[in-house]
Amino acid sequence: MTGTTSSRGTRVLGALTLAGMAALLLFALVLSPQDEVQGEAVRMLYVHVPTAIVAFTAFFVTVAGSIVYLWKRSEWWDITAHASAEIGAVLLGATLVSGMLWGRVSWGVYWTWDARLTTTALLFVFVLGYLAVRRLPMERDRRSRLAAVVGLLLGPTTIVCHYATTWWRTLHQGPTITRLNPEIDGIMLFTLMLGMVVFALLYAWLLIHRFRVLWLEHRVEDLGLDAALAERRSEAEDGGTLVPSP
Amino acid sequence: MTTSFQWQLVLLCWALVLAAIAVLVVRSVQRARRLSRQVPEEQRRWM
Repeated sequence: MTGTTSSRGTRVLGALTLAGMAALLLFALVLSPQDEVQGEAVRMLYVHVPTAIVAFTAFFVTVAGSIVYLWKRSEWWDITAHASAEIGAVLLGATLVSGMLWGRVSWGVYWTWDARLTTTALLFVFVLGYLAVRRLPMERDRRSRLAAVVGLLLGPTTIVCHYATTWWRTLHQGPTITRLNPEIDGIMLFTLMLGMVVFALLYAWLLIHRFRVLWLEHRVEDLGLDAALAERRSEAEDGGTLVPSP
Repeated sequence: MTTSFQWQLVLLCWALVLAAIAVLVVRSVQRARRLSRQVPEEQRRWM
């Protein structure tokens, strides 16, 4: 199909993601019971935790891509790192927003300078900085090298953010997935796991599409550079000067 | 905290997250269409 970045594989993946998201909405908002302590607010768990975990995964992909780019100067990994950071930024933004709304119910405030919240905000600022570096008007290799170095910072920041609830006393609850609460209801646990799967599928689907868009951007950039060079050569051959005389 | 207020926050949370994802998808599609017109067929190997 021309004019889009889709292929048969991505269309299947997209259909699975959409179907999964519809099922997740059904389970999260209708079938899952309310929690004894959290009440209806527990329904935010099914979006907050999956977006956070998939965002962290996305940042590790960016770190991996940055390392490989610095090592091998691979355009494929450079674009993968960039695409993954874009999706990670959106998912981390979703985590922050859902966390703030959940915090209003659980803690009575939208925001507090708790260790987990602060490190998440810091991580969000870092990824926005990384994406800002990606837009700097400079030669592509230099920009990619600089972005890869900044991208490496996402690794330790993500780790600190993940372990913030273990290393410091925080309002935020501890890990939900690694130490599953045995009292969690069967449907609640299933819905949480479904959320993980659906957001992982969404990430994979978006990653492929964003990769292809960025690949096209690189090709357009190359074509523009080639056209500019050809124009300059043509001007020189016609007897024109590259620098206008005063 | 009333149940109705909790529901409002739950629905707002889901709406905002899905809207953010939808914006990313729509912008990607628009950009892909615009860029595809500028790139020769042989450089779009996956399509």
